[in-house]
Amino acid sequence: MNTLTQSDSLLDKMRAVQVHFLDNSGLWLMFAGLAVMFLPTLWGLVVVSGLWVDDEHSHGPIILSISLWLLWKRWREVPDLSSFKPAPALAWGCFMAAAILYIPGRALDIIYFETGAFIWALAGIVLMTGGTGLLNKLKFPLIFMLFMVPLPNTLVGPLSSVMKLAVSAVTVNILAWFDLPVARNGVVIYLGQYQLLVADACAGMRTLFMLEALGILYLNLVHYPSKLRNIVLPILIVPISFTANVVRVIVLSLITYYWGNAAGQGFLHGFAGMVLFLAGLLLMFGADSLLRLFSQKWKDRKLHAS
Amino acid sequence: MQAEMRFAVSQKPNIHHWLVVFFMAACFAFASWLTPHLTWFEHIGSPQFEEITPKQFGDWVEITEAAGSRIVDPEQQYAINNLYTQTVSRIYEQRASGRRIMLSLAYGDNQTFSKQLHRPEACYSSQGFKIENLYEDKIQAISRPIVVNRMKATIGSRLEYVTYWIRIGDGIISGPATALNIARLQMSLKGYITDGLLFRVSEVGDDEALSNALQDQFIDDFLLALTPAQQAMMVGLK
Repeated sequence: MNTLTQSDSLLDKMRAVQVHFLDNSGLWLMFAGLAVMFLPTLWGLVVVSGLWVDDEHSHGPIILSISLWLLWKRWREVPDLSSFKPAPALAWGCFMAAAILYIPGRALDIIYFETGAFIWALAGIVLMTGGTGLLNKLKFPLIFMLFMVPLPNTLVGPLSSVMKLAVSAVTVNILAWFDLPVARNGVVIYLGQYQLLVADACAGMRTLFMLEALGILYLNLVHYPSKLRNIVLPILIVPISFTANVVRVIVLSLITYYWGNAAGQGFLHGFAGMVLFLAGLLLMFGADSLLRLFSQKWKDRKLHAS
Repeated sequence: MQAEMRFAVSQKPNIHHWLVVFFMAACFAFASWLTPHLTWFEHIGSPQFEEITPKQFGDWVEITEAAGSRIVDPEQQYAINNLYTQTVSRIYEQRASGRRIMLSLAYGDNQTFSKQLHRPEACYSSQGFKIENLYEDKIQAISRPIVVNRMKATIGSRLEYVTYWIRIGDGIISGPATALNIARLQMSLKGYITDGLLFRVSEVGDDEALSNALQDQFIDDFLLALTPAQQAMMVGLK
């Protein structure tokens, strides 16, 4: 059974789609409804408002793809749907919640309502098919989808300006340690003859988001039983992404200082973005290794004690 | 083994499944029916701000060369995002006193999620200005009260007093940041996709009371030079 469903040949994949989805007409009927409801939303996000193509929210489609892939993966692991009991009442509750978010969201253009409704609708379909048992199996991909909901500017704005100020302050302090001619006024960094502005994008709310999402995904995929790791790592990601942003601003400052403005704004600007992300990932895995070490030590000590 | 797989999942559509499809399609149809299709931009006569902004009015005249004056360009940073559909940046001089006022209009014909106006306090501070003393004030212009925001922006030794308002659809918004969205929703309920105008004047100077008085004078003179329809494009109908 396992070898068959997990096998990678194209034929097997198609057969899996057939067995798990196409043969289940009740299921794909509901998915057709879902498509009617949310394909226009997707169209809006990608084409009309272009929010998902935008720099600030471009993680949305990535999160959606990962979630759908995970959903499919977990769904295939379900051996027998007949062992689950559908829960229509709960499902209708979810559909109602989806409608309450979706209708004003779409009519009045409140995109986070509209996108959020998708998760409720999907949860409703899961409940209608396999009840709470199935929902329990699929809860991670559904919760993970929360990361794709674009956050309101009124929430992100103030957070990001606090981040910006802190990032510039820390950067200037570090550069001053190395005796560089540096000063700061708000979010403007003066370095030698150059004036650098720490912009919104540099504050890296998006990096924080992406790292947080990847961290949680990583924890879920490795399935490590340690509570310590599962709780502490997501919390650690906040300072980690802050540090990564400081690294990025420092790298950009130094590039500008030594190679001029053109270099700092050109190709190397994008390069610094990659550095930021890599720095974040490395720090995350580093923190995870440390946590693993700690929890191992902890276990050893417990064993010795008993 | 294959037989086992075939047995794995199978649910014939029942009444619930059909209801779900119907319900979802109904949600979409209802939302589409509620969605406004008229634009406030067209409702108020498709304003072209560059054209309707007079180059000369009252005792004011536009000057094109202004050494040492730097207008904080609200467009600069977000230009790529197409945040605004129109912007106007002018510097005017009062002939009697020689004092200069900077005028900046930023207009977006659709105030949806990603294309909302950015408030000057955010623009200024993201360009390195320090914002002090942001408060709401009420001025009289064209014999009607207008709620404005005032603030003091400093960068280095430069001091700038700023007065601005934001018009969303038919009126000027005041209060917290959420006011913009609430105004947008109200316009949607009236059946319009709303526009938004940021009207901002400022002076580089060091006396707050004097600067505010001059700005109020400028605003009054400016609005008086416009037709009623053009005034509505600037301050709304309310």
